[in-house]
Amino acid sequence: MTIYIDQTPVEFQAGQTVLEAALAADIYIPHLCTHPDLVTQGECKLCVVDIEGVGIVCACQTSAEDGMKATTKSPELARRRGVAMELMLAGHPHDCTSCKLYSKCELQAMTQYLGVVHSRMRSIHRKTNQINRISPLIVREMERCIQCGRCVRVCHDLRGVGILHYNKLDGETYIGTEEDRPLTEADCRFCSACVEVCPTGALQDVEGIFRADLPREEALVPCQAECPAGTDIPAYIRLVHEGRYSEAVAVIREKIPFPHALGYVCTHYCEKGCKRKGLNAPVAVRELKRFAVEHDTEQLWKKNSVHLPPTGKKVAVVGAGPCGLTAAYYLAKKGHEVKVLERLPVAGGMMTTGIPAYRLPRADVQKEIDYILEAGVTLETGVNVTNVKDLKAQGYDAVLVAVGAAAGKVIPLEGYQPEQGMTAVEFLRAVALHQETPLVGPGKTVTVLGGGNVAFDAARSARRLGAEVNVVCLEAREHMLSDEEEIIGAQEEGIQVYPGKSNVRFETENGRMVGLATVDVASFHFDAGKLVVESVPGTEAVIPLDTVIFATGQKTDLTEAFGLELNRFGYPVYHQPGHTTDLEGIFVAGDVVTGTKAVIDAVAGGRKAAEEMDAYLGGDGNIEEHLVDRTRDPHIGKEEGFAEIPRNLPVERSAEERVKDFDLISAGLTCQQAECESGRCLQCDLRGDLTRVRMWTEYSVK
Amino acid sequence: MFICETGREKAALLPKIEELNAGACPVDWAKRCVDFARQESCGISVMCRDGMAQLQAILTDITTGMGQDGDLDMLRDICSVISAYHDCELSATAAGNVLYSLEHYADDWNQHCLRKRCAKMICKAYYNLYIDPAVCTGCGACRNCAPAGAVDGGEGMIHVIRNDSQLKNDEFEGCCPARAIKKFGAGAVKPRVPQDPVPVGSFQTGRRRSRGIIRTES
Repeated sequence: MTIYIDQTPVEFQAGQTVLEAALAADIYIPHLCTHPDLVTQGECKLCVVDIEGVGIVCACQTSAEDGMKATTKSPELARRRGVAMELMLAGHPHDCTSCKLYSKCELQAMTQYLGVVHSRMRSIHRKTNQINRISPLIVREMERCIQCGRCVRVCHDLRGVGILHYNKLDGETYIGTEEDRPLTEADCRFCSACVEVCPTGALQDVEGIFRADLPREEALVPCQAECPAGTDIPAYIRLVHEGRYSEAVAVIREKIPFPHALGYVCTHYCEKGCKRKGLNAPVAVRELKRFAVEHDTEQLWKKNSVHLPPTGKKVAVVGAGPCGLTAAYYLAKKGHEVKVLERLPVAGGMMTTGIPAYRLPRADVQKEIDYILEAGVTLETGVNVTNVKDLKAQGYDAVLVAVGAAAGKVIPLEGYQPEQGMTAVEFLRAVALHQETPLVGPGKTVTVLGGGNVAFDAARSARRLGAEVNVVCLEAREHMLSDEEEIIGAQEEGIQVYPGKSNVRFETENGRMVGLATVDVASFHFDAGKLVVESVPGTEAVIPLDTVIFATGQKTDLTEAFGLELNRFGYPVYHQPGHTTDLEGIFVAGDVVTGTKAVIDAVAGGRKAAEEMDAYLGGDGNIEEHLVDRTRDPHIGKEEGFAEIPRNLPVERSAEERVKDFDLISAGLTCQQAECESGRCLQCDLRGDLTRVRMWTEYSVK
Repeated sequence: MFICETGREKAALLPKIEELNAGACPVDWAKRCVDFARQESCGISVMCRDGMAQLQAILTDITTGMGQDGDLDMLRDICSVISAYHDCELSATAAGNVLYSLEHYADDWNQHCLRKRCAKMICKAYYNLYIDPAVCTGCGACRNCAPAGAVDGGEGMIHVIRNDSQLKNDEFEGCCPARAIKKFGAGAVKPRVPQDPVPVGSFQTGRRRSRGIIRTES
């Protein structure tokens, strides 16, 4: 069937309107209230066309009919569009430059297309513009609103929330909620679809909730954007909410082979990005991940997991930490023969010999390592690789060095007696391997230097061994590097935390350290990499100690003898991107290049390395998997009190009880909590499904 | 296809053309059409929502002495567009009414817009009220009908309007049983009335005093 638009024949499908037929044929007809995802209502009167034998009608309201002849440009059409546009602009600010949507505004583009400016008409000042101007997450600058009704339609028809209406006050029409309730009280779901479809700057996102350094589609889902491995977080939270735990795990497993371990200990960068924190508190993503894994009875992910036939290539991975094992897993699935070499008697790296068991049960890590071995990876523990070049000589086509940052740093302080001190890495490893720790135990006072998560791992482990524990760090309490729950948990367990202290020297008696002399810090900064501390005079104090544990950073323990070129900090020199070194076929990844980072960073590093190595070995370098089909329902519906739903916290064992052993502290979410918590998600990913409106400049006929 | 279901019913409630032809002020009548449409508009169509708001703003100016050159042409332009969209009966009919009035009562419109006059003395900005001292019986009905301070006088006294800004309404204007409350056009010579209330019958309704000099008949 054919319709003639300005004499151009255009094929159309039954049911299409004249406007749809024209736009589909890349012929522009001006329109503002029409949005590709929404039912049109003929509000803006800009899409008027002159149809032969019918007259002037709105193209969005007129079904295309075979043989129809439509004119889109004539003096009368221009006059009509001009009046409609002027009427809308009468209530709109004259100055575009002060608007954040400047140059991205559909209305602005339309004024340019139609050549209409503010001029002869009376300016209309709506007194309702100030109603509910500021809300969490959404800024409403309603003086810019042209009341095209897109937000109302998207809220009602597409989202099924329906809290936006055309309201009336003293004859004035404005877009608002029922009884002008604030969005938080009007049961808004904060999906921001209204912001997305708004053609002007009337509805905007609060500044700073999206990263500016990422492509827009990625930045719109901040949790996923923040995750180093790029886990499809909204998808699995939705699946948890629907009770489809096995599918949720499959979604997680598309990106990470350690979902259970990360469900316990992930540093949850995602929660820092979560938009819900602008409402009350971020969604407990990590707890939901743990919940999903613990309730996955079908292990659906195994069904769709791809395993390519053998390629005949051999790969060695040095270090069986999260990075090395992740890379090994994906390389094995790509058909390569992978052997992982670990110098400790257990695999898992910091997951089994660093992070204490009360945070991360060993059995659960072992289970996930077993899945990796099931995928065809060979593991050899107790093997110390002294020179990486030997491996090449043994016939490996590629080698990944992922040995981590396994050496703790000791800060040089006057009076230090090495026999009374150790690094947190050494201490935690000894505890994990059930070795004797004569320096830590009942009757001993242990002082931990450092304020990161490792410091608290060491402190809380020492406490469990019966010692009195102090934690001393440079940062002020509110700027401490560790997770807040670690600090609070430690204090509950009777650990003394001394933030904002600079270490002066160790006090000694008869050649033994008895205390740490400290002074309060006024401020500190780094000058050319060197720490400069300004202390408060007259605040010297001594913190008693029998044993000192340094949790003041870690570095690699690589030496030149290993065969890699090292920089002046002891880290191997490598090429970004690519994770390659100067030695042919030898790659590095994980903490050994990034310095001490989180498990999720190591997993992400392992994935990147696997991609590079697969490509190097002749594969396509693509390790992406699609383990489960998923759909998104844009219809989210209204939920009473949605903005107020508090974050669900798992039950923890009491402090008195948990300091007695190394058993798990957190019980995880209950079924009810998990359903509630997953329901708190704002489902930011739905916004990306809305079709982007093409500006007139993008059409070939305009 | 209609944008709102109730537009046609509401359009039927607009002021009638018969009323206009029976002697209503054409500008006031047009403004009442627009006021009603704006009040009742569902707000969805730009013509009804923004169109009526714009017409209301212009008509308010024209009826309050702030009409500008070109306003009448602009009204014709806007109304001709609005009245062409029959998917909103309410705004189309209201705009059609304005057009009809503009076409048939051009003199009245020009007077309002350019000379700031309302011949029918209906547009409130263009007339003032006074109490005719020759007619007032001093009954006090007007004082009871007015806000405190707006009308001065006592029983048996000729009442005097102090401030008519709140009095220009049908209730006050029609409250005098003797029909002593009268209008005079803005810009016309103010009729002679006592400055302060005086007993009924004591006020000379002769020639006006002008510039403080009492002229005597020669």
